[in-house]
Amino acid sequence: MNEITYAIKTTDEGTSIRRTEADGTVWWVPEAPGNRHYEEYLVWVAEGNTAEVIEEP
Amino acid sequence: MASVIKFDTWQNTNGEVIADTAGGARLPLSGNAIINGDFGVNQRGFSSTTSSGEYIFDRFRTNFSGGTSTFSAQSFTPADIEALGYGDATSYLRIANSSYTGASAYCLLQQYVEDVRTLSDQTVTVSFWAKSGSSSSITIELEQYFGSGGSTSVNNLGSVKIATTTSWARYSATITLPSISGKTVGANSSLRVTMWFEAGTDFNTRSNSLGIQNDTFDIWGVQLEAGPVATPFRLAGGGSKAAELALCQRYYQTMSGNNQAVGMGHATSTANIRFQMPSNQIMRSVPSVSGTDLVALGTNTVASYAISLVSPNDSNSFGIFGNATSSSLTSSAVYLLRFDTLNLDAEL
Repeated sequence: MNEITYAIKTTDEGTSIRRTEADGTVWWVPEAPGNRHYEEYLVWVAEGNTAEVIEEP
Repeated sequence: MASVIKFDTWQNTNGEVIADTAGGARLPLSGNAIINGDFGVNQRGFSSTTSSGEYIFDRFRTNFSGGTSTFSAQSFTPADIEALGYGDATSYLRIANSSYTGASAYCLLQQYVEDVRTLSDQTVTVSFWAKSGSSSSITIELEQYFGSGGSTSVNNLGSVKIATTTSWARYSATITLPSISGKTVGANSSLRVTMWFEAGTDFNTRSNSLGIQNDTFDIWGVQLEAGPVATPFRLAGGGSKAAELALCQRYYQTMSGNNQAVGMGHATSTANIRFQMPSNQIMRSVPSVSGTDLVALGTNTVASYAISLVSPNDSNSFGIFGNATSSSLTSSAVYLLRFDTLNLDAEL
């Protein structure tokens, strides 16, 4: 299983999820049911993981 | 004077039956449910990978564990194309396996056909061309995946084991799909079409006791259609390369922005731009976004602002809508968005 990390930032416009894959590719993932990356993120959280919180703008 | 021509079977130049007295016309009525079955669309620029869970040629994904697999794009030689009898073929997929061992090992090539309702309660036929490094086998399995929040998946549908040789040949498996009556369909449901190349004993039922083979397999021309026979191969889009690309872009798009301003938005605060970006197709779901050199350009000052996060929240015929996070913006000002490359992923 490739190592994937997540970071989130919450603004007045909603939450952005940053998914970084093992090869360094960054995907910005919407909080949208039906998006496979979001579904995988929810599974990752359900397994007890917590995403890093992005502080900078 | 009227004339009547009578025949028992009607075959094309490849010897494939396209009509007979038992089944009538066997030209595909609903077409190929597999998108990009000829591997002609390759938006990701796939050439080779040793990673599992990756999309390679558009719509096809790798899935393996317990061994080493190299999935690679190969170019047909004229002799290959003659063997296939399909002049438009350009690329095929090679899966080179080694070091597979153990009961839990497996190696799969999959396409998730959108919506589990697809072809349910029907007899279907999967066909493909293949050759292997030695005499081996490939198992074809279908799975009804009801999506997140949906009913439990139904797998082991068909699980037809097919012997392959070192020469190109076309193979088929006819499978009856169950009804989905009474089932709950959740998000991301699909009919999963799976080719098994390696299977440890844990998967004897689903793979029809395929076993560990550690062989090399070449694949091309994958088709899934309604009916009990394999009809001549055709693309899901009917044969047009443009139509096939459009079908693929419902799930994935890659665009070159050439570092030009191709999107537009306005700052809802000093840190956020609500934007619109181009999209070639309405996508299956709100896509994930990956881009390079993505910046916002102030229209008055021509200053550039690095974008640290993008959050798409809508996808329709006008493009992708969402929010981009930056800093030091002028609230309510208009910004242009520039990128070098932009990838949109709404795959299953």
